[in-house]
Amino acid sequence: MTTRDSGPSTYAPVRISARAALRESFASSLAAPVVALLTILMVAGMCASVLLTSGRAAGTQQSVIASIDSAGTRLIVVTAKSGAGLSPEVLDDLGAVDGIEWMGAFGAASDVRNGAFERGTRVPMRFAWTTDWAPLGITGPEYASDGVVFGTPDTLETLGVLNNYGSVVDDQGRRYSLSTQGEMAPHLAFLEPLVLAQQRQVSADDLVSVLVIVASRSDLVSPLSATIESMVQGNDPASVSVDTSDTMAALQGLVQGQLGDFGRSITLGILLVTGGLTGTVLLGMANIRRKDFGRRRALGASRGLIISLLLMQTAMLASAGALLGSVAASIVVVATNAPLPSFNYIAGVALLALGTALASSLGPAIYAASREPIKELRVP
Amino acid sequence: MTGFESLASDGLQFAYDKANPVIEGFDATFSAGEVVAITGPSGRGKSTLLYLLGLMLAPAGGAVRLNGEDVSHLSDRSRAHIRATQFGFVFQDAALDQTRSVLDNVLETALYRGKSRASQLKRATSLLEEFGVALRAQAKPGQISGGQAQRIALCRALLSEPNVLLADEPTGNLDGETTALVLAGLRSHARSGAAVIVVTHDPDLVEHCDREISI
Repeated sequence: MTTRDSGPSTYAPVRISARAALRESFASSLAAPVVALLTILMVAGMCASVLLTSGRAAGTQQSVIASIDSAGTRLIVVTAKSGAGLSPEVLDDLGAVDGIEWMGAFGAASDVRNGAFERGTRVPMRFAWTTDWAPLGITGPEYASDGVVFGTPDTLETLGVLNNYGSVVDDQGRRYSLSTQGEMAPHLAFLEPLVLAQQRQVSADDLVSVLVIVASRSDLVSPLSATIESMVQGNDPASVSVDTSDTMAALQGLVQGQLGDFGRSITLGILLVTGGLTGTVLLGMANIRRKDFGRRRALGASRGLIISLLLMQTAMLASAGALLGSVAASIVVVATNAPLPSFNYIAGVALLALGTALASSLGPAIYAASREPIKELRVP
Repeated sequence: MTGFESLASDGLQFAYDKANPVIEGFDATFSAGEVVAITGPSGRGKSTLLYLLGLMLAPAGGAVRLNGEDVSHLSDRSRAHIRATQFGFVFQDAALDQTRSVLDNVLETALYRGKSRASQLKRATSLLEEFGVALRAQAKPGQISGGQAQRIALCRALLSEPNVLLADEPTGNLDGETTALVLAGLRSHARSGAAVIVVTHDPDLVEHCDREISI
């Protein structure tokens, strides 16, 4: 007889490699194909249901919000009468205010006409001050020379200037070279038709008659307009008016809130129902396989290992289901020309479905791990 | 590490309900190298005693000692560890996983001991050959006979080369020739330094054991 090792005197937990555990979980899934298929289908159904209901709502919400949240709804327009004495230097003051995406100041309008002929269509010309000329359709890298003004292609067409280059004459007979570089940003199109005279510096007698500010977010329109109002009002508050798109900003908040609430309620309902169904199927599986779990316990599987293996098995099946459901629902959404929610939203739903499946499998896993070998293995 | 010497029960008590105790003050020592038969009429608690000795049940009183150390009152995790690493079990109806192949069944305990499948494959194959069921390695338990199932259960129990082998009616479904094969396997395992405890009604098997404890 040989002397045998009795093993360690302390009983540290057995370390099981992730590969071995994954292999076992995969084999267990294959061993119970009906349960595996049901789990995959339920999680796929969970994801698809959420994406086809609240996901569509989220897609619509994103689409509506995007259109409401266009720069036009973030516009603050200050109109100053000649007596207001609003200097272009207000732009320097506004530069210190947070939440402004773009601002530009425009002087009083003076009419100009095509310099090539008399009695043409008259178009307003304004001095303009800004640090970012691109939204006004002026894309050149440097300031134009004195005597050069700009108009958009539409303005040039209104003036009857063809070939993108010509001249205009004001009422005092001053002639300016006119050219075009590009279109105005859509939210500034309300200024058109307009001939712009770029102003590099501010002189003492320069005055602003229109000040345009674009807030960086629609919810900032209201507080920004209050700040701007306090900055631009001089001695005569009645000579300055501040107009905003408050109503659209409020509408955006309303859409966001109501559609968001609707989506959350639907999602919660679907997750609860399908999570309950998944848990029931897995509990049924644990009950059918109780002898199997009793044998595993008898042969040395700890409760923790059985729970881990079952959770891993659920995670594998639920991942497959989440992928299947997300892809299928996305195809349906695209095929029906409905707005597709963002990738983050789809991934979030998939993760939520995975989490729900795992949470609903915890009870069945604990039930399986608590099977007593003697009850399950004894032959009557 | 110390060498395996014995598994002992020290005043072991157990009852499924308090009014009817099944095991009352059972004392015995199972030493390395011996094959001990536990016999007795049906319903006297032989299988229950085996489950108590195998740390699958917690005793109501007394203790199970492995090399003198009380292991019956350890945590569930520690008892599972001992079952996986030091004990081997052969159940009355083989208790094979019907969904896995014979080879997978034999290799099952490797997972619980933290051993890789590859490292145990050679020994598993060797055991299947030793007990004459190697040709059925890829079959499912539903495709084999009861006698073959019992031999596969023995292969599974022996895979870890356990210090203590606990067998519940291991020859219940076997013919004479196979019984001899199993008995040889049990004796060989005992000779390697393990304690083998067999619950049986089979007088032929009892005759070949070193000792009989009747309860």
